[in-house]
Amino acid sequence: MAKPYPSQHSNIWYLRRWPYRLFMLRELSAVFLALYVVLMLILVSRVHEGEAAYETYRDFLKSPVAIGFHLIALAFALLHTLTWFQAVPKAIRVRRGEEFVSPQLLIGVHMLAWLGTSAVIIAIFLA
Amino acid sequence: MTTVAAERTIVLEIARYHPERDTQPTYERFEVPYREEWVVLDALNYIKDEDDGSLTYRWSCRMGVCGSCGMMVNGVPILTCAAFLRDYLPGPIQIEALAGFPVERDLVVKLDDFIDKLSAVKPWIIREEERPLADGEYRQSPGQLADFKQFSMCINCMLCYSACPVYQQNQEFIGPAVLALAQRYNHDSRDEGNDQRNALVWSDEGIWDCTFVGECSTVCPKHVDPAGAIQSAKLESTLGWFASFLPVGGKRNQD
Repeated sequence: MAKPYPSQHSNIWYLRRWPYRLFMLRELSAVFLALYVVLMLILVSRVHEGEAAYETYRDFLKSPVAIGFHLIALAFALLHTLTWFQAVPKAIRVRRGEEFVSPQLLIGVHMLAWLGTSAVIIAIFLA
Repeated sequence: MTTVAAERTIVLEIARYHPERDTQPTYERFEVPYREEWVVLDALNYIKDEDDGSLTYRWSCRMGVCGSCGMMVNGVPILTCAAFLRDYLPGPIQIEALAGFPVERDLVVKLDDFIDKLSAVKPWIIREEERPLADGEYRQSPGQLADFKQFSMCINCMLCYSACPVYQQNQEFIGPAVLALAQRYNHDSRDEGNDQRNALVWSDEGIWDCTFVGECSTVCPKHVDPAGAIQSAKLESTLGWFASFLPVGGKRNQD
């Protein structure tokens, strides 16, 4: 009686090839974004507690550990953002006549909107 | 005295599995002549003709149309009729059966799960009411054809399933090719079967199990872009869910 050999899967499948590793890094980026939000919420809470608590927290944010974390979180935020916009043409297919609008154009428009929004926010902070 | 230049060769490490004898696949090395214009399938045919007639694998057209000869070549799913030896120099080249499927023998996998899923999404044109033949054909503009044509190019080679880690971990997942095929009919202007398909397509085992690794589209030899089909279906499903709260909505949104 023939017995087929069952398909195998590994719990560390994502280490096998670069596309899988990049996928896992993209998923992991959400963890760093969430941690960053937690730091922001603590900041708001410290502001609420008063000046002394706020200054203590500011000193912590100036520490090498905190700066290191922010640099890593920034890198992951950029990876998250870029891969998000790269995915736009997968979800949105815009047909005009018999042709589809080029994926690069869709990505470009979204990237411009992102850069524009970021510029406005930075301008508000600097004002 | 004449000297014959040593013929250039390349080594293939092939996963062998004999269901009546083996408990798991083992690798066997074969040295084959290297030819600039040979693909992996040519090398397999050479081995079967010259070395070991018991080597078992599927193939048919040799031109990327039939979808039979898909295998893992150095860990990546590819049609072996399109995998040139010259792209794997200096070797050795590792050949295994498609990942994610039970192995029947050597490089042949069991297709049952894929075939069952294929028919589950009703991949045919569904009409609420058939029009009498006398009324003529269902007409379609080139634009309406463009809406689904890409998804209709699938040759059922299953490379996308072998590239999909979600399917490897959870075989309940309907999977890339079948979901793309469902979209092929959902987007067809002649079809009225979206409700029937989307009960499955919009479910957890359908599009929502997909985590968008995207490798299905990378390995697809026909540029079907199953990842795109699934992500656009997610958007449709989400809009359909919101529309279901509206007092007036299309019938397709009621599921």
